[in-house]
Amino acid sequence: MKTIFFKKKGKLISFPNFFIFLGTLLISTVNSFALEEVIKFEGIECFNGYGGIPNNFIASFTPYNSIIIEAGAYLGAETISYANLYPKGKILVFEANPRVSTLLQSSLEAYPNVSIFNAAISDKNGVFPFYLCHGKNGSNIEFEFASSLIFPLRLGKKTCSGPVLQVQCFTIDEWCKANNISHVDVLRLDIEGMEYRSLKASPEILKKIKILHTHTNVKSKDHKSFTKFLKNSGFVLAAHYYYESKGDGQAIYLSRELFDAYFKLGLGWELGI
Amino acid sequence: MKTYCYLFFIYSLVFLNPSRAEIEEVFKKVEGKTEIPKMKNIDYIYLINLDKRPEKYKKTIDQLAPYGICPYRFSAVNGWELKFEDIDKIGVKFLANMSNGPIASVYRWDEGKEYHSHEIMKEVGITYFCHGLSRGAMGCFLSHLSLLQDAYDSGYNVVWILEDDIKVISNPHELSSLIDILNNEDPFWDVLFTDTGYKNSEGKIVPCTSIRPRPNLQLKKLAFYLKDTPITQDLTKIGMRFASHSMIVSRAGMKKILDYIKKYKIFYPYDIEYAYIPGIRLYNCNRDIVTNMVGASSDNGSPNYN
Repeated sequence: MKTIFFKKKGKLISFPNFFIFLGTLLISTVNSFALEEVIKFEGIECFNGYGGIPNNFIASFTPYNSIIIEAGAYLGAETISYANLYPKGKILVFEANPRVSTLLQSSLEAYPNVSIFNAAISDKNGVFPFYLCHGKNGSNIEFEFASSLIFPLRLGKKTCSGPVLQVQCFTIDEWCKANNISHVDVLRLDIEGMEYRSLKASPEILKKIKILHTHTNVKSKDHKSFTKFLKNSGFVLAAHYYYESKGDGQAIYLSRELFDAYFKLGLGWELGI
Repeated sequence: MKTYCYLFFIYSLVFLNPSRAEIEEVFKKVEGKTEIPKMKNIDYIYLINLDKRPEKYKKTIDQLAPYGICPYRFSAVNGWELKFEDIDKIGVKFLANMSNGPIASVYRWDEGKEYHSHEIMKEVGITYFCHGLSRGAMGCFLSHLSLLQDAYDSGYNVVWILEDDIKVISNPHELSSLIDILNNEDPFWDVLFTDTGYKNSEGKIVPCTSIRPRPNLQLKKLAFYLKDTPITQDLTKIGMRFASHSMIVSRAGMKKILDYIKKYKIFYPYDIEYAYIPGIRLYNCNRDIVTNMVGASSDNGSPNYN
């Protein structure tokens, strides 16, 4: 039995074909949403247009021998970029996952300006549980990029389960003090939700950071507090790109000194920021 | 004893001042100057061209030759080949009595290699340039200064300095008449640009609408530099503009530019600095006679030659 349903471009479409048509339409709509993920920008307009936060843009505000701390390096894509941009820099990389840390050690062997530490940047010093994310079945290491010191509540245990390791954790203050690091030119944090807590726990080095490049999530409950905290700590938001639907993003904050040096004394801006 | 202390103090200020390295030590000597065809009201014509850019030289002289204009080719100062010690002589040295400045460019030497660093201007004795000033831009600036010094020392009253990215729009001999008009309207003029402004890749004029603080010089208010005043139907007195591809400079202009740069050193590119020179009198033509070649390749940002 064929039921005539409606006309399309003068052709009759049969009822079973309509379901195929509807399914195709649905899939293409979902796909188009996925493809056209809206990226929002906030910050100082002149930074918009970079279409993201390239490291060479950050490098144009920092000395050739910068000290860079990268926490949550994972496979080191950003680390290699820093290593090439700052051949005379000191790039200090923290990766809590011992498997990934070993991989990093070998893949970055050729860069004498990079030091890798198998430890986590956190809000406390000591040894704490680190939740490896192995996906839904708890057996796929491809999901390890989402591993965190925080119990995987956000994605839910069902979608992010895996072994729990005990890892060495440091506050940035404690680690810098122990290693005679007096200032940080660039601090890059991508530590799966621990960014705010880690910075709050390191008030001393916070005063000596020139550029903070941090992962953000505008949908997390503490995003507003994080933003306010950074503002109160003397940082000025330069650029923040984030996905409107998921809320994930990357932000660049400049220290007030750097901001003034570039905008007020450099460009002559008189901003009431 | 007091007198000796006083004299020593004066001596320290004059001779031990870290900013005393002379920028003119880096000027390039103009060699092999030849007689060139005369042009009314202009004593000499220079064309700045890098040795590594013969094709740009040819393009330029091919445009001027039909008018019987044959400038002296000056082998440009190649900023990318400047000695590190020379860079130290030409920029602004940070002194103890200065307050912290902007984020600036510093050329640092580390284990036998040079690094372009971006730092807040605050280290006494270190030479700084504006943020991002490239070696190429320094070379361009030094080429102009070298020629201005030569022109001044040669006793010329008016010279025309060209870069090798010009486009001749109409008969350049019209400029001689414009100089007559300018001499009549403002006998104290310093620079006459031979066009209405710098054109971008779409051929549109790029307006210069902002000023930037200079660490060792207090600038006037922005409104001063934005003021353009037409003085005749052919000429406009201007506050600032971009580019230096074709500039006619009077003797007074040569002196003002040279005195300024010897005192304050290089911080910004030439086409930003010239507007900041106290008392400088800049003029534009109200129509393009010789302007810039749209989309011409440049070696200022990076050495793009072979």
